[in-house]
Amino acid sequence: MMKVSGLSFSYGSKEVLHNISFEAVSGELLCVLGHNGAGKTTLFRCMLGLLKPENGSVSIDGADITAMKPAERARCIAYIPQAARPVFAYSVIDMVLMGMTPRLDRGHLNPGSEERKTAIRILDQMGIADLAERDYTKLSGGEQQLVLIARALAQGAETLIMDEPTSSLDYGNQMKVQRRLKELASEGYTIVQSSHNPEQAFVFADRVICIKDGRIFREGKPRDIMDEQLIKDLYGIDVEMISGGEDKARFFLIRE
Amino acid sequence: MAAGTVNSDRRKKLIIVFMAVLLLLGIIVSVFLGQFDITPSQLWGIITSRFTGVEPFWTSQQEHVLWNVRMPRILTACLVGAALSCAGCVYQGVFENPMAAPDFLGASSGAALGAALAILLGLGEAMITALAFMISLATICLVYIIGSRTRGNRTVGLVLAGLMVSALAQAGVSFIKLVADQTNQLPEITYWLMGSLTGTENKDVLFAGITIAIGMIPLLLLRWKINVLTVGEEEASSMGVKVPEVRAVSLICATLLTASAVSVSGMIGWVGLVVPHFCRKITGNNYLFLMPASVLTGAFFLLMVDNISRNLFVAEVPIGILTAVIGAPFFIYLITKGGEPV
Repeated sequence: MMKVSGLSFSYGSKEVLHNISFEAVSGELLCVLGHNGAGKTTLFRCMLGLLKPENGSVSIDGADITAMKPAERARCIAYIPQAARPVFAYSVIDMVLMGMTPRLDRGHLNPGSEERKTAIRILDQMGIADLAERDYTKLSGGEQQLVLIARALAQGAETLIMDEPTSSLDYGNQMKVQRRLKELASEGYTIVQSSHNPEQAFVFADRVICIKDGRIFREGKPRDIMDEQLIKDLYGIDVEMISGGEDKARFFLIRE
Repeated sequence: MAAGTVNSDRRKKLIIVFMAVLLLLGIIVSVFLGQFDITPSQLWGIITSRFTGVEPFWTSQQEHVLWNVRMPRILTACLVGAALSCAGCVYQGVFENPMAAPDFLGASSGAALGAALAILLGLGEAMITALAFMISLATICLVYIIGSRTRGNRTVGLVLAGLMVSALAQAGVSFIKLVADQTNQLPEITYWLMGSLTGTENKDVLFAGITIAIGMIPLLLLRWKINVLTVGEEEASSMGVKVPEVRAVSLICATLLTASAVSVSGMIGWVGLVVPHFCRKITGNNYLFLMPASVLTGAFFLLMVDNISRNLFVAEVPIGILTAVIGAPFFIYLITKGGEPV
């Protein structure tokens, strides 16, 4: 279980996050919504231990992440960027092996055949074992995203933090990746992702957290909180909500 | 699929073994090259006589040439080549920049300034090496400090700082050339700047050997983490790599390699850029294989170029000129027709 309590962060005198508290439990897919500059990325960086919060704390199963060693933290919590564009071309298997780094130690500096087997197993689990020897930089965006997820799983972390994981993908790949994430959540992973797509969040998220100007502004099950008023408050646009498929999906049409 | 990946790794390991054998053969062949002929049996005799006490069937001059002229020169060529390519390969990874090379962080021009200054002050040979080494290290520190203080993209900041500090060091060298004594000092400075392994002695081998070992061993141990650094600072941190520490250790070691190489051989350019790129084409970008491959290929490359430099013409051609003549066109080939972009 991941717990964020009373988290505040400022860049200089500009307060970016104010008193943020929430929890994410095992098996939950949490979606963070908010306008550009609302503080989502800063929040994620604090959750990953890349930034040290001014006040408050982030803990995993009761252990404060700022007190952990980097490798220990990486075994608890993994980051999946929107897109990784390495300068040098690495094979898919090498990318996944990089995720194994926090599991190596002093007596075992380089990944060996044991790690390789694990990496192949994870690729297999993601359904992309046939890509193992391919050049990562030459894959499609959707395949790359699956490799990055495999890399995160290789860390052994059970909490996955994703910054707009599907925003640069085409429609089909967005759905594929989201479905895969949903499956991972049902296997017991905790997934926290940010999104700019409320309609997608409604379909896939178990819970939605809305951030506005660095504060949590609403939080709850998508069905309970996502309506015309929320979209207006969050993004400042007037919409009309249309519910489809017995409220399996909600669409927001812009009012002229 | 599992079998496939094991095979590709085994193939890379075999390539590295092949490179090591090639280097060894290269060293043996190089021993025979030069003005004084040494036959294979004489060579064997000279080497084993220390243990067997066999009657010399060679001249003392041959023995002297082998131990005090040829061997130190061959070993220095290998050490310098290995050090420069290892350093280049590390700079490229740590700065996430395929164009990074020892010449680029001001390490080479710093060493040049130190050497020129020592020659101007009329200091001895040992002091030329020492001063080149110290100013080279100081230059890198300066570049690193300025680079980390620039706003915005730190990688670009570092590259720009390197360019600027190099320009300053070069201005210093130009000024020293201007005020240097035209008959003795100026030719010496000019020759040093061209890079040469002429007159390498056993003490140079010892100095370079020790400092290069100190720089290279940590890098070989860290090479998997350097892989992770190349994907970017934040991602590497999120994968549990202590980015500032690994980066600092890598830079210090790579700079130690550059400074010690340059201080015994003068300015030898291009090796640190071209050899790692050549190896990337052969073993791929994984530092697990790339770094040993660069070390071995760098040693082999500089050894061969030095053989050309000392044997092709009656008067020796400075090796720095040859590495540029071979390196620059080869690099153009790599970036245009060499297949895939890096």
